[in-house]
Amino acid sequence: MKPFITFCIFSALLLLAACSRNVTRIDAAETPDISGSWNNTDSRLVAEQMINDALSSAWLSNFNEAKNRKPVVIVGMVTNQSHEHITAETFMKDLERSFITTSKVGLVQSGKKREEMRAEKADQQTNASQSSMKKFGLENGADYILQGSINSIVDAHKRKKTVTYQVNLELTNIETNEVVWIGDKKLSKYIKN
Amino acid sequence: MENIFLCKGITKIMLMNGFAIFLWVFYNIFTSTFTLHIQTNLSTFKSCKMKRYLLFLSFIGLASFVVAQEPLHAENQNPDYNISKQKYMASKDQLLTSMGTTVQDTYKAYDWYEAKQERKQQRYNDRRERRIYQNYYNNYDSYRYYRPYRNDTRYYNRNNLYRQNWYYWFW
Repeated sequence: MKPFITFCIFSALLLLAACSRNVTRIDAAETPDISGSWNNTDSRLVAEQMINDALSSAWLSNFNEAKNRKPVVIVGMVTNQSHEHITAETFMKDLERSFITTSKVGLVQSGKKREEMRAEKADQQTNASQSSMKKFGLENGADYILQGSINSIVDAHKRKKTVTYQVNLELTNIETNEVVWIGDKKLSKYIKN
Repeated sequence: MENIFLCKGITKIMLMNGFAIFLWVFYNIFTSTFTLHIQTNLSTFKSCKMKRYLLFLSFIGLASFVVAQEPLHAENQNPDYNISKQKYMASKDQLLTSMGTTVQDTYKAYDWYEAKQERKQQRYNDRRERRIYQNYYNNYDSYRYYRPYRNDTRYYNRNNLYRQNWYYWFW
């Protein structure tokens, strides 16, 4: 009788162990492909390509020569026109970070963060001491705006599928409307269900 | 007139200053007692040092007013730029709300395998729904209206889902 009870207990424990969720920490640079959808690896590859391309292109040196200072960039809108929900902020932040860390490009805040910053400044006008109060109308105006789009092409039949993502980032001179740089990254995947 | 003041920094100061001096001088000339002398006796006016000084000031004011207006138009700038400017000044808040974000404009791609899985799931859902309502409708007492009322209805329809609702026990 005793071995039978022991066997039952072990079986129950094994069953419980099989049912429980198992989480393992992995390196962010080695995210495995599970479903074939857009994942961290894709975002990283796009960021790497864009950073290398943006910081080595002629627009930067041209601006430095003409104005004798580093250009100021504002991040605009990225439109996701692919078949998946993709958040561009992941690779856009990598790009912005590279602008700041290399000190080659100045960056100004945009969107809701800018609104929050201005609201804080407005609050300071009545609540902060006169010496520490920040003034309105002294923000840095951007020279260029960074906009982008994500597109995808899907070809699927039976259990086979190929997906091609195309990520484009464009840098446009705000005053002249001239596009000075277009970053491009294509990613293709073959998925078999 | 309001467009004249749409410049910044030193230009604005010059402009305001020039315009103020100009107005002040002319106010003084035409409201002073010398007004009559100006109109009646020109020689008196010419000999008056004060008036010369006022005229000089007036000239400076006008000059700075004119100079201040020059930077309003950049070189080769479209003279109708203000039309576009006013249009976008009015709608800029609305246009800038999606700045720094990803606008999701996704489409549904046809995937043979996914479509097959969806069809399978739909069939399962339909079967399940049919199973639930089959019981409900099969036990529906469509002759209830024509039969006389019985006290043991609750036992008669014990396994009927429809009768399990208390609301229908009393009619």
